[in-house]
Amino acid sequence: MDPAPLSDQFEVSIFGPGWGEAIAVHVGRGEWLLADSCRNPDDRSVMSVSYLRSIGVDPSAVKWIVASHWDDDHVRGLAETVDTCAAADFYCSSALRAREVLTVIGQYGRGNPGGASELRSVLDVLASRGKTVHLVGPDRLIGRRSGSEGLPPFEIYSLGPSDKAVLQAISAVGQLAMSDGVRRLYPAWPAANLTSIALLVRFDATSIILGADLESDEVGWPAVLGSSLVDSISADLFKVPHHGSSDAYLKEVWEDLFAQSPVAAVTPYRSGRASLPSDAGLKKICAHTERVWLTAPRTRPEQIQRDRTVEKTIRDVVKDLHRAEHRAGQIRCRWRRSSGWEVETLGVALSHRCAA
Amino acid sequence: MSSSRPLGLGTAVGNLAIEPGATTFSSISAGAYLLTYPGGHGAPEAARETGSAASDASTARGQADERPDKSIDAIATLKQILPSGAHFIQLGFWRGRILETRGSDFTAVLSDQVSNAPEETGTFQVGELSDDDVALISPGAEFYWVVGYQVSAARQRTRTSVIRMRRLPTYSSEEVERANDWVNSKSQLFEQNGSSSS
Repeated sequence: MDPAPLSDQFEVSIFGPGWGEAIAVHVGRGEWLLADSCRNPDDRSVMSVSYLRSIGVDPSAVKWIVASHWDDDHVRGLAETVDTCAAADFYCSSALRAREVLTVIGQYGRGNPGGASELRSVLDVLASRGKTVHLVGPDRLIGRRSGSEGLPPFEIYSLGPSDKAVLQAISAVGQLAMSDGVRRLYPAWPAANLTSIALLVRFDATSIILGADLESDEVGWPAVLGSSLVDSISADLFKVPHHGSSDAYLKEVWEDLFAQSPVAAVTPYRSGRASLPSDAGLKKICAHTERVWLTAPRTRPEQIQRDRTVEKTIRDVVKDLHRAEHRAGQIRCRWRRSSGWEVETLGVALSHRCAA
Repeated sequence: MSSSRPLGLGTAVGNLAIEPGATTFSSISAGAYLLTYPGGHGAPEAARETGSAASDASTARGQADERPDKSIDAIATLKQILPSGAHFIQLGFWRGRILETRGSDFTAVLSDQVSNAPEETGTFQVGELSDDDVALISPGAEFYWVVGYQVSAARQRTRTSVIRMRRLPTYSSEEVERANDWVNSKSQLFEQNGSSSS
């Protein structure tokens, strides 16, 4: 069995099967935070929970579960995560409390695609347990520990979503709300990235930022830069926002919030024609650090092997047919004051070589 | 009416029901209306779905909110015209959900309804669909796609692809009410203030 992190060791594991991402953070003393959720395409297991079990950690050690937002690629398996990690408190965007948003979630029945139906299952699980949904806006303290008994202190804060972003998202979601006579469709959740909860975790002498899918428009990263929480921060690990997309890049974020050459973890995304990060997106990241890792290759996932007749028939009809998801990868970053960050790649995760 | 695209020689005409069988190859005769349920759930209700807009609606109205994961996935009746004495051998069967449209193409995520193969994404040309179905193309819309052999009475085989958009019903007032009830039942779930916890 792969060893769990030491009691005083900070760990950030980032999972990505090519269509989704999840994060597990160990804040010492065997306590974990899980952010978002994705499933292993090979066995459909929830990647973060499976990982904890693989290193001998019981899911009851999870104290916090954060749904950064509810796009399909961030919530697959989230209801199972909430169900399995029964001791954890659940945090999500304050937009969830809006009646317009809840109505859309209510109309997406189980078995229908998209993040809304997963979130509906999450709420059903929480209701059955009599638990509370903790709502997150900007600069909210989610968890902390003062240094004691030889354990380093830590603090977990939300960075967003801003009030303005939440209002915009609620307005967009409201367009989807069911009403008598309206056609039934299951499109992607609109404007979900606006409600993204980025996280700041301070642990001992280091800090990290988990960027969720927060974008660089005025209600996104610029709002974070205005927060007093990040006034004097010098983080040294970044879960790069929105799969390394250019629309989530803001030079000032890298320059103002991070130390030189931080660890950058990118979760590639491919759906239909969309493929992230692009070469241009990676180039921007590489302008700030050469320490870049990807949870999965950016190449097209492999094709499914099937009968030759079937293959020939479908190739006549459909273009660019390929598996939706890559095999799963994990970037595991462990930190101790004495040694700094040590980064390992598991599965198909890999180090990205920035061009000189 | 479904769009039929013969991939080899020949044209498909006649009545055809497509069976999403539990095995890879299913044979369906002209005029047959066969439905099987790989997931084994919801068969009695599902059997009423015939692929027409009206019956699609009657099934979905009752189940849209609470249907089990696999029940509706296993349902398809894709009708086309087959000549008398012809039958269809199914080679593959997928449910698709449109992610995006662009020009004369649309991209969809595909779930194999016959095997447990992983989801795939692919891009189709709008021309694969009938005029009636083209009007239904929209992000979030669903369709069924079946490929197979149309076998004539003279045992001539024609490779055929059929894409049919699902005619999901509009929302009913009962559903709106049910969703509102669900929303109301969750109102106690949220913390009343956004105070910090530590």
